[in-house]
Amino acid sequence: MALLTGKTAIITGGAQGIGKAIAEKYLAEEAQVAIVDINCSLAEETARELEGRYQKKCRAFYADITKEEDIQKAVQEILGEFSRIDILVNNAGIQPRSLPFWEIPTKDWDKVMELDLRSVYLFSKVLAPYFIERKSGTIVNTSSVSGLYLWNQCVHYITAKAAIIDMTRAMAYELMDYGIRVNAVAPGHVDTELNAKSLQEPGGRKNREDQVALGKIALPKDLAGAFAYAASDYAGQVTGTVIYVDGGLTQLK
Amino acid sequence: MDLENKNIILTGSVEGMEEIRAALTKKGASAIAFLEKEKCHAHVKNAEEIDALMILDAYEAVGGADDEEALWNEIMDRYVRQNYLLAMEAAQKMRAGGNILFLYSSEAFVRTGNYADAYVIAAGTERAMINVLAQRLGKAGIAVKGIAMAQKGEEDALHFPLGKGSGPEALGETLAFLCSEDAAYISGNTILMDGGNHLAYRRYQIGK
Repeated sequence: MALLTGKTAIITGGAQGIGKAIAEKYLAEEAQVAIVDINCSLAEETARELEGRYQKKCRAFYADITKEEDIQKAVQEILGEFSRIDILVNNAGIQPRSLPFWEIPTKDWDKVMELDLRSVYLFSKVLAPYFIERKSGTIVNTSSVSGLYLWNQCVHYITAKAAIIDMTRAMAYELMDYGIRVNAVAPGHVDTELNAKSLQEPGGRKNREDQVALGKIALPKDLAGAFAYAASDYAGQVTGTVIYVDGGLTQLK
Repeated sequence: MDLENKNIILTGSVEGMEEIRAALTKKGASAIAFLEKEKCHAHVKNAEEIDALMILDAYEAVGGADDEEALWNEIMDRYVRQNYLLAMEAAQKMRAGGNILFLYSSEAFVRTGNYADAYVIAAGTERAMINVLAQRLGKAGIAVKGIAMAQKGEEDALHFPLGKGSGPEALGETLAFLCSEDAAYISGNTILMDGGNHLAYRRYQIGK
């Protein structure tokens, strides 16, 4: 049997990048997938492509995940279409441009906090009562090793992704008595649309490869397996944890 | 099939070896050797090629608790020294890359007070060893990873909000996952599989 047979998953930011790779893996593991994305046309294109390839139901839903009412509307639409939700993957986010922290425009800080952190809280908040009522459900959040492996000039992103780890633990603590699990996956260096530019800078790729024990940068598909495992019943004893998928980038923590 | 034609060596003392074997077999593994740790060194030395080594320790009581130094020496020998040596020996035979997996006590993450100091220190050392070996062996394509679980005998004193669990089948599936392509980019870290005890124990300590 596949890892996620019979389950329905919401994947935010599933139209492209890591989110799309997670959607592909979930469909391959026989889940049904609801992609939630602000880029409606790309999400629909991705959903059509993946549904065709995997012969499992995959649909696109619009939401600006910084708006609670958008999330509520999307959840109602998804329940109407799929009649159940088992898994929430809070994956959507942005990777802002690098600047010394004293030069980051405050509006950039606010935008990162809204999209990378507050949205994770909002989506989990909207779905938690539904999961609690059913005494079943699991949340997987996309964090990053950035809080542990400091890099220069990204204090807003580092702060948001590190906060996701504590939010994961705190939500897991509150939900554990209902049998609802909350975990985070923390990727290291990944080759995605978000960071294509920095990888193309002179030495950009080589420097990163040298930092990783396994000597290579991950592709989005290299991360997707951990998202599938974390959501599966085989991880039924795993909650409040971070699964690092970083090729050995991080030192002891 | 992810584990087809892979030479896998299992050693240690965890319960449910048959379920673990079944989970690995389901992923295509056919060549699985299960050996006691003491015999494992010779087996590894004589092996032509190894793809995965799994050191699965249940932290059973060893030695006499009234002789702290003897207990310390025995624990450190069994869980630290032998494991390190075995991992390094196996790495020599992983010519096409491979996986080294450690199962150890979740005492490395939360101290429950049910274990002698030496066990907890050994567990913490295994956690560190996974990271150190990952750094050292990564360029040879060898990934090193861990699973931390609540151990035999601890159950009654601990708090498992998620239930005591899915048992050896889930452990087997998690090991199979960690050895598969799906987890090829995981190295240097541990999956904490303790039924939420690290969260619940905190609540128990501070009171509701």
